[in-house]
Amino acid sequence: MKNRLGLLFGVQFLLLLTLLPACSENPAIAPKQSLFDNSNSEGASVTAGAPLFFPGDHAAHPEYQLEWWYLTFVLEDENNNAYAAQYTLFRFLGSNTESSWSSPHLFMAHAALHSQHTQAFSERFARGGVGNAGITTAPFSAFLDDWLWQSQSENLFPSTLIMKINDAASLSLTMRNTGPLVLHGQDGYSEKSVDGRFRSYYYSQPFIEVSGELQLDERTVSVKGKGWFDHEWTSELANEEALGWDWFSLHLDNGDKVMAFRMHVDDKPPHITGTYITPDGTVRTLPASAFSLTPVKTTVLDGNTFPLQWRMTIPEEGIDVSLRPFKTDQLNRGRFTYYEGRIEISGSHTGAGFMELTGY
Amino acid sequence: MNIRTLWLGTQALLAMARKRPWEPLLVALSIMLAASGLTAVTLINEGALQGELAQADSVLTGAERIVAVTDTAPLTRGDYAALRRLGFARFISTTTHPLSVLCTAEDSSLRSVYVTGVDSVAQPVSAGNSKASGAFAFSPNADIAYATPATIARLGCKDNKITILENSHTYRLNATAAVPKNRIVVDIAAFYRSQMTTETHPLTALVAPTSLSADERARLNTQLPQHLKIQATQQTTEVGTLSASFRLNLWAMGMLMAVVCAFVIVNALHLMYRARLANLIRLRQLGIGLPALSLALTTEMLIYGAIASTLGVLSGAWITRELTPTLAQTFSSLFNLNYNGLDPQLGSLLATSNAITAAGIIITIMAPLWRLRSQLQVKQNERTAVSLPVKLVSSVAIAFMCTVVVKLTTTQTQALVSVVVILLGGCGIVLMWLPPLLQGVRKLLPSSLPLTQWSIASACQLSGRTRLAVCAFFIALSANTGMNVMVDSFRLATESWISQRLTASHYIYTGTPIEKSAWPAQTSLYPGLQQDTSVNDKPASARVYYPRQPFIGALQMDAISENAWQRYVSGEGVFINQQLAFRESLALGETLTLDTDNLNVQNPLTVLGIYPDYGNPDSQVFLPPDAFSPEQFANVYAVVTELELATLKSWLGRQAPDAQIYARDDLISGSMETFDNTFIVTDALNIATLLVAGVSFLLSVSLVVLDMRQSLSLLRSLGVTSVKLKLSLACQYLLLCAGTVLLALPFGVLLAWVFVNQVNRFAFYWIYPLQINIDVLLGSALVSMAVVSLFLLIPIGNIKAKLDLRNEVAL
Repeated sequence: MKNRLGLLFGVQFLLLLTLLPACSENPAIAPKQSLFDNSNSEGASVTAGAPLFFPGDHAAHPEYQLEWWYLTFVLEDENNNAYAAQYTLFRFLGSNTESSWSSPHLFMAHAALHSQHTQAFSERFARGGVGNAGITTAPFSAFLDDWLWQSQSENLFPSTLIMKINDAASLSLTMRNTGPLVLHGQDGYSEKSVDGRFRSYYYSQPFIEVSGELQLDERTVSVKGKGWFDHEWTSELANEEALGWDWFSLHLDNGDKVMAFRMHVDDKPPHITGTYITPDGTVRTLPASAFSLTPVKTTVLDGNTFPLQWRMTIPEEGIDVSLRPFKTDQLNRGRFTYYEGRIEISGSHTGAGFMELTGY
Repeated sequence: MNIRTLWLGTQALLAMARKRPWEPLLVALSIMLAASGLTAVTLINEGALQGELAQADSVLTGAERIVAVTDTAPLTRGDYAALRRLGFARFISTTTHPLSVLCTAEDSSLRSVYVTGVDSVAQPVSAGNSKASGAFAFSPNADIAYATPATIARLGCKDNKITILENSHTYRLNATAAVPKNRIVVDIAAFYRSQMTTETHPLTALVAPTSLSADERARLNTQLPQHLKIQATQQTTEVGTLSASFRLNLWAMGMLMAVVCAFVIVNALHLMYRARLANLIRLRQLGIGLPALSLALTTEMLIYGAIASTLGVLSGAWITRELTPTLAQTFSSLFNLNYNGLDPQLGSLLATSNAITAAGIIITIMAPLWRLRSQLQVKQNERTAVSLPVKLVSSVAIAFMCTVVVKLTTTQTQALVSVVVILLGGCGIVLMWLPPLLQGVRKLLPSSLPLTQWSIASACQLSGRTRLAVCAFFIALSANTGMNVMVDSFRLATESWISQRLTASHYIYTGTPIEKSAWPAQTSLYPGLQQDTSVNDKPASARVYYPRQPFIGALQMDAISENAWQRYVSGEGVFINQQLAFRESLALGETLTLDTDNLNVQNPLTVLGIYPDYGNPDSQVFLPPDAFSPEQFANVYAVVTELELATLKSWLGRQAPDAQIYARDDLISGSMETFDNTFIVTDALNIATLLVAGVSFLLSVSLVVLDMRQSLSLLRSLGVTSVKLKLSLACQYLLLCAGTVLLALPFGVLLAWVFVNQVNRFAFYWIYPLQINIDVLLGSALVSMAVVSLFLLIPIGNIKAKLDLRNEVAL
């Protein structure tokens, strides 16, 4: 699953975020902000046992309150310089205004590009039904203005991603998948809390080969690397008790993939779960008892304390790794600031991945 | 010198102040007035600046606009989405239409107001900010509307809730400076509800808050559909200049007030130290050195300054808060700008004010202290009078300097400098010529009136001893007269201009054109037509002016060519407003180039006439109706009819229920009411300055009374009654005052000329004829004398003809 809810401001995302007192096992570094409060809105319910269908489920699920399509990339140029990129399209179901201008849906897109010394981030907003934001299915595309992920077919890949983030940063990437889609939780039914109150439909494509060009630092760089795609939709995360989470996607050099997260729910210890994926796409859900995910060092950025260094152990897989950001400042400074950036993996295994810290 | 000496010295001075509190109180009052005035000016200017910035930043006054070429192929939602998908993501859609607004659903009194829908969700976002500069904090789809405080006040709806008739939805009004005046702004999704759709109310513009780069513009030009165009906006530097000019003028008034206060303070210090001289000499005899005494006097003043400055800041903040509604209306009506009421940062203001006051006191106290130190050491000789030839040469030199400065003025700042030069030169003239003037008056009176002769001679003597007070009074009076003459001229010019320009009997405001076939009998409707365009590549507005009676007779011209109307009709030339003429240095007979994209005109066009256009910051040209298409309807009709208003209303109610109709007289009276409100601020500062001058005179008179006790006792002993003495004193004060007034009036008129033809010319790009109305001059003089007379009543009542020789010190 991809824990993007920290960014989700809901139908009334500008007004309804409220500061709530932190109450977790480590208050010093626990998320403090409510993720999303849209408890007044209604949407379809996420239920176990409802199978996912593809390519149909790549499309939008307008009856659910929240949905996101999330691409992250770990890239290298020919000199092995590291880069990171992100493109996310969020959809929110608003209250029905009976407006003839637009549908009740709101879209928000985030684009980020990092080199070791430069970072570019931008965000955009649009209404559904106007024509400048949305999802198409045949062929598949996810766009907001001129930020465009365009597939050649109704499948997600092969496809291209073109974004001009600002006057100094843009990217043009070609993507193809080298493995199957991965369903998290119980065949895509992913619980985010112990009691199952918080849940979503969630699948990923962790096997993406990427190549293309970046415009950054006033030069053009050819890059290659790996990508990770998440698609998630839900109505059960619209609750002010959902404070934030720490999410990780790991591309291990041996070809294995790991997704893990800690979700912070008000008044409860964080809920920890994950998915272990082998190169052939075999999936094993990781319950909290099967692995550990522990912050080991915090860093203050913009006055907020973020746990930027972590230790992850998965004893059954012989994994004991340290997760460190490839550079310290990878904050996405938008309407609401959060941490989203590339990490380097060291220890029993090596590799690269992405870390998202929200609600801090 | 040690701390204990300083402490004791200061305590002794404070004890003297308690014994004789009059002078310290007046010094403190002057400081308080100066601090109050400057605080008010600072806050008002800051509010004006914030309002301007907010408005300049507003997405609605964007730097770039994309609009439809004609109304037949309007801007569509598809165009908007397509342009954004092409990468022009800074453009957001807006739609503006005149709509009918009710206060409540049950309310029956419709108000017509422009309502703008903005795609607030798509507003550009600044990194790290919750919203972009100038963006609206809309909650998407919420029933929130934004308007200026002045617009909200004008609507006057209870609970600030309005219902738009066309979509039957109710919105809560929030005040903001970031919208144009007379406009309600809502989220676009909240705009298009119920019966209102993009078909019934098309999009009017795509607006980008910042300018396009050259590359972007080139790309946009190639990718823009044929039915759309990039429009030059009216967001020009003139608005900034206008507001900057207002702020500068206000600063000038504030500084004028501060200068007058400085004169008053110096004068008061002279008085205070003179009154204390006997005690100060005793302190010296007790062994307190001059440095310690000077430091003690400075410390005492700093204590007064700290108290008075604090009170001044608080009162200035209070005054500004009370004036905020009026200021908001003034800015909205005159400058087409918003005014932001500020929450004053009192801590910062107090710190700044106290620091400035302390610095001012240290500088101001130098001259009186130096004089006091001299007096404590040696007896001063009387100064010799300036000879007549020297006075004449000096006066000619001053007149020459003023003329040169005025002639050389080419900018607004230089114009303000010339105001300062005229005022200081005037002070010199007054100081030199007031005593001879009073002497002349005395010579005119028969010697059989000894008391009157004495009174005038005494006044003449006093004029030399109260130089600083006379200067302060002169400056205040000249500025007051200048402002009054200027405002009166402006008012007369505006009234005449409005009365002539509003020729039709009625005016109809409607968003929808009215079919000619539906016009009532014996009635002609002349639609207002307007197009934003450019003249010589500078933004300007083109408006229709009908070349027929009664309009021909109504157009007031500063200059007009031969056969101007005939050539106007033939399309050979245009009429331009003063603003355009000044900006582009255009004169009669010269040619200009008009953007012909949407206007049926042939370049080049000759300037056939230049018309006054008071209060309009923009450049404007008048064109005949053939130059426009009906789609350029500006939502107003001039109605020429014999019908009664009630009959017209009845017809209009059937034909165009949303339209508003106004009688000519109502429009004129409303305009003049707005006009009068615009000068409240300067009037207030004017009166305050005059009051300060009154304080100055009061202090001087107190000084004079101190000096005259021996003379008064002698007169009493000669049998002059106390009442006669008081009357005689009052006469000489008023004579002194009248002499100053007499000399100040010409300078006031000169100042008015500079205000109109230089300050206004370079700040606003328009001028108007200076009207020297004797009533206004007399009014200024009488009011000034009345203010001073009120203050004079106090010391006159306190005159005691007894001498206390213990306190008399020969100087």
